[in-house]
Order: sequence, then structure tokens, then C-alpha cells
Amino acid sequence: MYRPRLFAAIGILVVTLVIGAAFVAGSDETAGSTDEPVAEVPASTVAPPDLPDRGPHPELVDIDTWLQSDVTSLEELEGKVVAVQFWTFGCSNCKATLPHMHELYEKYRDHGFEIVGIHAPEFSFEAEEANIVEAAADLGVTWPIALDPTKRTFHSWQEGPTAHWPRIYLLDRDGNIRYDHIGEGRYAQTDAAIQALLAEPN
Amino acid sequence: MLPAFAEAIRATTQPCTLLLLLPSIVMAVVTRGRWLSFVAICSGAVLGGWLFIANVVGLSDLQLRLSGGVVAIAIGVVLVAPYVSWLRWASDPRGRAAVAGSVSFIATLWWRPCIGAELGSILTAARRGVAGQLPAITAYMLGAMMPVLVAVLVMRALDPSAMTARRAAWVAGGVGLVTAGALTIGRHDELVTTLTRWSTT
Repeated sequence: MYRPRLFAAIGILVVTLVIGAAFVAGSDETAGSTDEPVAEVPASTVAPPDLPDRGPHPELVDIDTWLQSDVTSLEELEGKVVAVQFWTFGCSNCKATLPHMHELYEKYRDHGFEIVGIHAPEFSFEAEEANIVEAAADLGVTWPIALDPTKRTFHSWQEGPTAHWPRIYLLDRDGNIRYDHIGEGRYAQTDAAIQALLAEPN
Repeated sequence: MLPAFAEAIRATTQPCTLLLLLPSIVMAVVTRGRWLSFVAICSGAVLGGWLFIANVVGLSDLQLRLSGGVVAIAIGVVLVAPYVSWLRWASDPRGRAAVAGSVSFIATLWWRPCIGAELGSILTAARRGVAGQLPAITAYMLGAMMPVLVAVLVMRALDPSAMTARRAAWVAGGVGLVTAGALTIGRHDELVTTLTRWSTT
């Protein structure tokens, strides 16, 4: 005898269990990569990723203002390994990367490493400078921030019609792009890539 | 692929998935939980996911703002369709499934996903070659469709007479969605800003 409601109830139970299991499995899988990224996989044990030279970085276009910085261009940072991160303060995934960015900044800033956060707003309230300053203070972002309110730099750096937050590029001491990653995660690989780039002869 | 599937399920609890999920859930409800429609919805989402990582189609910010209400209008039309003579084709289950799949596919154009570790790795790797990432993005999109599956099962558990007796509700809902969609065209940014401020104060 066919009982659709019984089958549907069993189906809902099965789906709920699958979703619950997926949450648990996913939490276990990514917990280390978001909350304690470096502690989980020490950088020294991770081989650096391939770091092919992809040529000079694109220009910064229509940068409105630089915050927390005396420099006003990436050229002024040549000689340093630079992490260029595209972010916006309302983006949850961007915020999830900040603890790791802090860790990198504290670990390597005295060894020739700099971070430049290029703030490209998704929504209008994220474009107001006062809100960005307040958010940077709240989030503890202490590195230089370049404001890209028109998102021309955001789109000119990223190929294709769709650009993403967060996205990190690593520039070597000559200003060439050597590594990039979209989204959260790969923290240990990013750390290892910075170590490898810092180890390269100037 | 399981991590991608799991990350997508977690993402369904975040606002960034709503633009993909809400139209798909509404279509599952509108098509009264038919499995054919569910398969079409998933297929549309997976196809949209493939295009998303291929990075060959994208809407500009201006296009997003101008077209934010179009999906709502499309869903509203489907709700009203069975009661409008020149839209009777949409009352056929296969026609409705086709529309449902199309709506979920179109919704992926508006979708701005939360890019966690797994989707980020898929997108990064897709920049070097899309083909190898198709299984992973398929798993991700199917994970994102799990709430739609729940909606399908709930609809199937309901008494069919409860759905067929609500003709006025379908029409009112459809007209309401068309109206809401028309009002939100061009106001996407303003609405999101308002919602964000409400949720953070």
C-alpha cells in the first residue's frame, strides 16, 4: 500500500540526518583552517606551492585614498614581499581571513613583508570612508588600506566578468605576481609561499 | 567532494545564498513538490554553477541593480500562470518543470556566494582549468539545493487538497511577487543596505 506521507516523513528524516552529518563533517574539516589555521598545519611542514612568475602586477586604478599608510603606490613597496588582499568590511568570508592576515603580519612584517588591503565595496554603505575607518578599527586591521570605491582596480586585477572577495595575491620583491588564492582557506600554503618568497634573493 | 557538499549546506544558512535558494524553494513549492521539477531545479543550479566557475557570464553591478526584481516577477508569473489562458502551457507539469529549472538557472546569475575554503579552492583551481572542477562544483551546487529537497518533501507530505483549494492564495501570491519584483528593480543596493543595517544594529 502506497503511503506518500509516510515516505515523505521518512525522506525528511533522512535528509535532516544527512544535513546534520554534513554540518558535523564540514565543521571538523574546516575548523582548523578558519579558527586556528597555522596551529593546525605548521608552515614549516608544508611545502610551498608552485610560485610561477606571472609577470608584473596590474596598475592600481582610481584609488581614492590610502588609509593607515605613508605609501601611495605598490611601486613604493618594491623590495618587499607584498600580500595584496581584495576585501570589503561587510563580507563575512573576508572577515574570516583577518585573524590569519594578522598572524602573517605579526610574523613577517619585520622581515620585509607588507600587506595592502584593497577595499572594494559591494554595497553603498561599504563605500563611505567613515564606515571603513570604523570597521578597520573594529576588526583590528592595522595594515595599509587602499580605497577602491569604483572597483576599477578590483575588476582590472581579476580576469573575466566576475571578481571575488576575498582574493589574495602575493607579489615578490620585484612586484611580480607569484601566487593567488580566492576565498578563505589555504592558510598554511599562503604562509609557506610567503616564507619561500622572503627567502628568495633580493 | 564531500567537503564541498558540506560547505554548501552550511552556506545555505548565510544571506549570500538566499538569492539562489529562495527562488528555487519557491519553485519547488509552486510546482507542488514534483520530483521532475526538483530534478530540473537542481539541473538549472548545477548548470549555473558550471558557468559561474567558468567565469564566462557575469552581471555588472549596474545590471544587478536594474534587474534585482526580475526573478520575483518570473516566479509570480508562474504562480498566476495556470489561471491565465494565454499562459496555460505553464500548468503542464513538464512546462512547469522547465520554468522551475530556468528560474534556478537564472538565479545563479544574481548569486554572489559566500566564498569559503572549498568554493575558494574550486574557483582558484578553475582559473587554471575548469573541466577538472566540474565534479566539485556539482557537489557544491547539490549541497546548496538540500533545503529545496526539504521543501519538496514537505510539499509531498501535505494533503493535496490543501494545495488545490487555495486558488485565490496562488493568484494573490503571484500578483504580490510580480508587484514586489517591479518595486525592487533598481533598488537592490538600497534594500541590501537597509537589511544589513537592521541586522547589525
